[in-house]
Amino acid sequence: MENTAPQSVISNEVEIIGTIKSSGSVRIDGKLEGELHCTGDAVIGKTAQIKGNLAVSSVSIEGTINGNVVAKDRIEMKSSARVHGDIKAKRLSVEDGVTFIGRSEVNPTNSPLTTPPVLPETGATEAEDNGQTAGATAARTFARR
Amino acid sequence: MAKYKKTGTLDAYSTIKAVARAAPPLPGPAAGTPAGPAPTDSPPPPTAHIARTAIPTKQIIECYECGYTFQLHGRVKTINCSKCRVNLNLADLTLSTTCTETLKTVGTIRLTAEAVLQSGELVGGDVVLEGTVEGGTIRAMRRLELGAGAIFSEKAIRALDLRIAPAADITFRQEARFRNVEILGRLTAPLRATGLITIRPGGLLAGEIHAEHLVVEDGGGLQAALRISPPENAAPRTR
Repeated sequence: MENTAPQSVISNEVEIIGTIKSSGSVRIDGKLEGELHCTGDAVIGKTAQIKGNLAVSSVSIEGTINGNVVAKDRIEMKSSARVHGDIKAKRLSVEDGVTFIGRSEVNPTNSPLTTPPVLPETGATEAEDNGQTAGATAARTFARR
Repeated sequence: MAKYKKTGTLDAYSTIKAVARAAPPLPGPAAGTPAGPAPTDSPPPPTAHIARTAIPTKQIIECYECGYTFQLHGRVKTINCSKCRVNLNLADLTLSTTCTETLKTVGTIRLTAEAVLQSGELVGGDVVLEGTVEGGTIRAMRRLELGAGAIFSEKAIRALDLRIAPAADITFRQEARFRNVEILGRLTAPLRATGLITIRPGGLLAGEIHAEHLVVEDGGGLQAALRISPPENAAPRTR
């Protein structure tokens, strides 16, 4: 997410309580307690701590976010990123080492799922017992002991 | 070459010796003089050049009987386990028909789309499954690859690592536990991985995911409830 356009910078000694709205790019290295609405790209630096939701075009995350992240295009999580919240984007890139607790909704190909994302924890169906289901697009049952 | 007339086969050593005999001597500098290009007008004559030497292949063998792991140099078809002395088959197997017997190998077992496992046990280092498992069991000591046409029976498969091939659409109804998972197709599962989950471009992972490491490459899809936390951040386990 290299961007040479001028950007607003919240440096690491700055703490903001409230909502930030920007029509350009934003880089946050400080603390934000509130929401960030950004029509451009956002960079959440390593020292950044955000408590609130983010609505951006694209975002590169290296710091800590406690809140939901919605990106029109892309979310990029660097190895130092810590995200507690849900994310939604067209594209996602995650490096090894991130901490992420939440739900993700990223489907670049927009292909529909054949089954609901969250499956029941217990209760084997008849199809499971048979080990297979009918139909050309049948979901394959697989279990490991 | 006269003394090699009766030789039926040509091994590597005799080949090298023959090449060395056939090649003219290299124009080297005289002893005691510094090396450097000889002032000649004509290009040097072509010399024999051995571009590549054979290096014995090295592989890690895990005994499918006792689990002992040892290293093997070179290529052989069978070897005895260093610990339990069981004769281990190292060949790769491809099954494309109905199979009802037990097959064990340290190599790779591939069940093609036409293959049907009706009974018996398949044990392989790696297993590529594109066919149907109606009965019996499959155990992959390293990696299990699920292909596009794979149909499984429940409780039939064990593996350390999992790979979802491109165009495969796999659903796990119960929690699946693996070490490393690589996804190039589509996987819907309550998944718990102790190692690394990698979603390649074109892959899609859905379900409930618990893992220590996750890598999503650009173009990979993720529609899941996730808990990705490296070991130092992981919550203490409760029994």
